[in-house]
Amino acid sequence: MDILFDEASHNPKRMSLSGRMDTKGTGLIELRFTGLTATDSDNVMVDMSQVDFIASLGMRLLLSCAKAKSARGGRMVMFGLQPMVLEALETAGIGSLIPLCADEQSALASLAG
Amino acid sequence: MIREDHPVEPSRLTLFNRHDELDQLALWLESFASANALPAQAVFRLDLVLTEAITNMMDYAHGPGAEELIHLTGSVQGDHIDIELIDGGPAFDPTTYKPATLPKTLEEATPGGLGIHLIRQYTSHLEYRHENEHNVLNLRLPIQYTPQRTHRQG
Repeated sequence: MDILFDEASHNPKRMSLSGRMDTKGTGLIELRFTGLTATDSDNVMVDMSQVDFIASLGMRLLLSCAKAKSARGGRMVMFGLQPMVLEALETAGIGSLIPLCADEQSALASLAG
Repeated sequence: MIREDHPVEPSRLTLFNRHDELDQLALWLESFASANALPAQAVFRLDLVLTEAITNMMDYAHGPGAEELIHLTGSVQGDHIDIELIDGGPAFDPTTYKPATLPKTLEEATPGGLGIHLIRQYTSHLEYRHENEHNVLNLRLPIQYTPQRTHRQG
């Protein structure tokens, strides 16, 4: 699992995740992802198009960081989810808590709204 | 579409009860999916359900002393996949875990309970019994799955 962060981006911060967000994958990115998303009030856009699997530990990380971001007055949105990952997040009820947008444009619109 | 039933021998895997063994699960899943010509969507859901169930066993059904083993048996029966998971840890019934009350807002969301919620959503049958000092979990997953609208409780 990997994180690619656009260092030049600022409110919204832009990053993309890739790989399997299972127990091992989530463990590999947890610290950095938390540091990038949960420690200030900048809005965050997360490109999920290269994530091909997610389990509950990965969902918990996303949820925890989104909550921390919200508590700091910012928002986190995700976009480009693969269909089965989207289905899993919606089945878990996360789709109604964190915006899951089709693409970058709608993610930007969601943050502006 | 219901698959024509071509009987394939049940496929078995034995894992040590520790997280690094999940790599073995991935290899087994690939082989099982190929042998049974499972569609990609069914493989994803099976991967997720097994990851959740086995991780629960590794986290909670783990006693002191020597390593325990987890035994997995999988078979495809017509339009569904039958899975049996057996481990020798302390009695642990994941089916009695209170179903997640889905939060309405991010602020009231707590991360716990997601795993068992996902297992319940994706399986058409889930049964636990404690037998001969072993936990036995039987799950059944439809090969064709229709997402249900997630119901809020409370």
